Amino acid sequence: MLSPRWKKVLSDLWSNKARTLLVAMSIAVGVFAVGSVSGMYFILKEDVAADYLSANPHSGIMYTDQFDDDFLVLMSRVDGVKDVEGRSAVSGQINLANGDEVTINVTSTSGIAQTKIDQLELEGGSSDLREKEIYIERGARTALGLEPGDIASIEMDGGRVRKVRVAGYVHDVTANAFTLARQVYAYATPATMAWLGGADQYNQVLFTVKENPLDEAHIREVAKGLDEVIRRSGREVYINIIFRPGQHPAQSTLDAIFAMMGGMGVLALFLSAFLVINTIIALLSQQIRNIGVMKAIGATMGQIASMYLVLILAFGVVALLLAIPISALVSYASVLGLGQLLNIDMGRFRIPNQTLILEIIVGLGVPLFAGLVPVFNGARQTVREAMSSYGLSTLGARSLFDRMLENVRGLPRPLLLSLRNTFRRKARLALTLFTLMLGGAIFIAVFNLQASLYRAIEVTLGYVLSDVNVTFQRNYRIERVRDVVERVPGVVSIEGWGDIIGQSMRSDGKTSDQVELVAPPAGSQLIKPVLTAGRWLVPGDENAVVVGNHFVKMRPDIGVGDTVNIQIDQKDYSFQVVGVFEMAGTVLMPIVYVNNEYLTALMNDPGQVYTLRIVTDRHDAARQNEVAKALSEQFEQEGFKVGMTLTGDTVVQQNRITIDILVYLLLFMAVLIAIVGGLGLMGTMSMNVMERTREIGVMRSIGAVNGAIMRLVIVEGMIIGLISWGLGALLSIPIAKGLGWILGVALLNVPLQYQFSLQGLVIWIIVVVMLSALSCVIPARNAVRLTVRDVLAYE
Amino acid sequence: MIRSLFKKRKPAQRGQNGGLYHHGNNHLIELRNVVKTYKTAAGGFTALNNIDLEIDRGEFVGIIGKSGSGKSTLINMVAGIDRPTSGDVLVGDTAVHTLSENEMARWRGRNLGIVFQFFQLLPTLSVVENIMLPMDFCNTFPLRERKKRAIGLLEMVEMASHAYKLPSALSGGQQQRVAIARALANDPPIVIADEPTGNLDSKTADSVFHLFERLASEGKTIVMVTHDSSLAKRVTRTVIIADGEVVNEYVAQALPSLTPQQMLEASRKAQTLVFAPGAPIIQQGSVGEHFFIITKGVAEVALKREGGTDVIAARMTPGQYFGEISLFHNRRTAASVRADVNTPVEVLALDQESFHSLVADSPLFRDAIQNVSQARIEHNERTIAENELGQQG
Repeated sequence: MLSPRWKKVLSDLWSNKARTLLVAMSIAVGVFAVGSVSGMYFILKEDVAADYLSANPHSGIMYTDQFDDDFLVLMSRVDGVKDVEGRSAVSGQINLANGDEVTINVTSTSGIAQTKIDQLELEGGSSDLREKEIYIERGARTALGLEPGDIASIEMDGGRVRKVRVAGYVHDVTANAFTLARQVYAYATPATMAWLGGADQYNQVLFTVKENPLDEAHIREVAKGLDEVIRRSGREVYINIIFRPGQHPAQSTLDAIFAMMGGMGVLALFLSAFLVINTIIALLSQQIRNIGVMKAIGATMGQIASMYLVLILAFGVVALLLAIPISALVSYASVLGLGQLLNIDMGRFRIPNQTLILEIIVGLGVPLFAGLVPVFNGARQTVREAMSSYGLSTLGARSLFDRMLENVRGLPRPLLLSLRNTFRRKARLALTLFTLMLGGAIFIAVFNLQASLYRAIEVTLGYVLSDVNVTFQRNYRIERVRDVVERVPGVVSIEGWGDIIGQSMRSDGKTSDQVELVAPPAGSQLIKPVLTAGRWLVPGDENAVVVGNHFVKMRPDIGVGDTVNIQIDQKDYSFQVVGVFEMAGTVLMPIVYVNNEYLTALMNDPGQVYTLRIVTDRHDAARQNEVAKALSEQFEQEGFKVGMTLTGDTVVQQNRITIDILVYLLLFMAVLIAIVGGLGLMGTMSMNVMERTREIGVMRSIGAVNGAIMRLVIVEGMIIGLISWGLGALLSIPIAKGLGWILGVALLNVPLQYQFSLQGLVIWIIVVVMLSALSCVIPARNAVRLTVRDVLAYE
Repeated sequence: MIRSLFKKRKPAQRGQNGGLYHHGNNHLIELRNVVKTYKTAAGGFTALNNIDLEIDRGEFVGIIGKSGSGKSTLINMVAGIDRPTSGDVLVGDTAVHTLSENEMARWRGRNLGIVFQFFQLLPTLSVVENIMLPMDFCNTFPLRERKKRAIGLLEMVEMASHAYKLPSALSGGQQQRVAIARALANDPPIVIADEPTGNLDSKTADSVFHLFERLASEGKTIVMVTHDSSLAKRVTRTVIIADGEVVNEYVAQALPSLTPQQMLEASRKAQTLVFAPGAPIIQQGSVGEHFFIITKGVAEVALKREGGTDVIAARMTPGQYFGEISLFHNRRTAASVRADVNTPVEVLALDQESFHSLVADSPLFRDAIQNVSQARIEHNERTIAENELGQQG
């Protein structure tokens, strides 16, 4: 049989179910936050890697002149190369089910079974890919609304429309998710590629390495061997992409999500710990008389402490039972959602062991740790202290603040009483305030962070201010291009930009890294850079370049005034760095800006243009699309070879979608935090009121009606809510800056600039005032239900 | 070990300092020069001032006094609920004031039963579990016996039929009966009760008090704080507390018509005098200067006969007074008073100014003195007359 003291622990849990649930919920919220965040983290980490590696992803891709299968055999013999495969690509436009036109990238494939690198997985349709048929990456299936067997119309560059049959849908883990890239990926045989207007040979080499597949330096070494073989054959290597080997394309987005979740998880844990401390102190203060009685009848400090620690553990167990399944479901549902969003196949439902351990630590360890001091303080109280701690609370030494409050005049007496009551138990108030303040601060910070993210997009788009960008397949004279463009209605102004891939020589003078030389015309109006050092290019600048944060990250030794050596078409050129810009986001290769006039002169191509940046009369997506289409047709008619046409809106959408995913996640966290903070306030306010049951009785006995008492308590709660709001607003600044730093560095390679958002402040003041009022109504209503006699006998 | 020393069947061991108990104390409960001062926002407040108190085994002591007089603080000292600022609290072989909080809890659980005014049953435990709880904490009875014992105690307080109810389902009187049963759970030799009837109606209070009387008759030592003067009369000994001091119990016995504060004032102003066996205290015919209260020994009241020989009019014991006739009626003393020939006499002597001040302040005291002195004058006259008649006869 259970001994009476353990029976008491059990009865304490069971007899006050509302309180048990409240305390358990306080703990459970922390467990839930940590469980769902860590569950997502561990499942994503495992499953994303598993899904990506299952396709035997490439170690690197090299873009070169056309080659055939025989040359592939030659390349496969290069030292360190495990497999090589050739690919070619062609792009066009395809209409989504909603009528929007998006880019479709068609890549050559020899068939599902024959592909060794970047393998495709058939997800419906025929396993046999025939001529004039394509496979489509499954991410775009819903958006396209096409089923296997349907005919798709692809408008190739220049306006030729090709009708192809959809042979099926495939999963290509190396492709960017449709939701993020807003581009459709498709696969066709070399014959179909040629029919579509592409080449029947290859112009891309995909390769994997025999050893150390995740070692970027090793892969570069192997790539060097391939580079030599290609060049020896008389072919040029245009771009060599070795980017985060073994990592999913959406890894940077995932990293940002992990970083943010980690930051928020730590804050949620911190908040939860405070909530638990607060709740346990309040709980023990309710039990103090019981402690006195038990000590009076012979209980020792150790016996009492062990009883309450077990009680706390029991609350923890209840919390774990509540939180573990819910957090597992939420984290798995979120993982599935993210998987769908990022086009990743997730594994089976499970609770990772690490998550379970973390949950147990948070659910049992944190409350136990939080409870140690209050439990031992409570158990150490003498019987006399314990027995006399109820009743009308005695006032201790009065502080200057108390005296100031006493001198407040002119307010209605009930409001004065609420005000003074608020500051009566300062330690309790401090804990309640701290918990709420932290909750509020995180909530407000999330909105600031959202504003910072949107601001970061705006800043990034400062580098692409044009409405339509046209990239040609080769250089054209600007006068000729201008002549064509000016005939297209809607075009307001144009700028011709240069774009060349170069090799930035390292300080050893032997090795180099690829850089992209982007050349706007001097005094360009279509770029608004963010400079962190030096100056921007001015007309007349000759060998001046402005490098970016990505370049500085690669070459930390380079600063303003230094010289960089860049190899273009096997020739070495020296440039002087005049400024450093900051660009948020990830780039394939660091960008270096140089004056177009100087670069074209250097390349002996003066007045030539490679990319065209166009400003339209209206800047909405529809107008941009309209002008882009007209331009495309006009160029085709005039015999221009257009590589790609991109509207400003597409760039915005591509940037925005990742940010939006993060913002939604942040909002989810904000709601979670609001729940934690709200529960905290509800718990402590309930207990505050319960402690003052006797005082309420006294007030009723001298004529306070129910409404008056309710008002008194509710106003007190609202005062606490308002103070916490003010403090939370202040604390939100460093939290937003800290989270902005973590998120910015993880997602955009630059810390996010702090942005103030009124939205968070306004929403939180409404939430906190409502919660404060609400959390006081229930206990106050319970208190006023008791008769004066009952209340006074409560002693 | 401590517990065994309280057992009735064992003869008490003489302590190392010559007393009956270990610390040289001869009484089961002994308070020596106990002072208790509390620090408050307004400054120091002395709740108990130099208290000396002895209580013997089997006594049923009622502690009475006004609210705030210090009675609860006093029993808190005995129960180890509070500690003295200075002085000793000795209970049996234990110097309670020297125990740590934990030792105190353990000692209290095994040696004292405490009954509170507001019952203080744990609301989440059933009646029988509330009684088993002290046994559980102190591990005093084998596990299997605890429930049987708890039921037995409930039968004793006539609450066995409510054993499995929660305290909230019981009336105040019923809860207090359960609280008494809980106080007896570990079979302590001492029961401390702080106004156990203070929250009960008079009928219920009477039945609860009867339980305490029964316990006292069974040999338990009971120390009870009470406000109820009618119940206070039923205890075997009364200790009056006023302003944190114990009123001399002989003063209280001799002058019940005074308020506790007046008794305390009288005790403070009185001078203690000791007279050798047979020594005169008052000479008949002299001018009275003091009012005497006997605190120890026996005094004889002698009247002079015409032949010069004395006749013993009365023998007075502790708690009785003399010397009031001369002071009250402003005349020479009507009789001689001397110490008994066999024992010395200890008295408290109050000067005439203090006596007259008491008479002026307390009409009840004046009436009582008037009645007693008048009766004594008549008794003296009757005694002389009867004595002379006897001689003539």
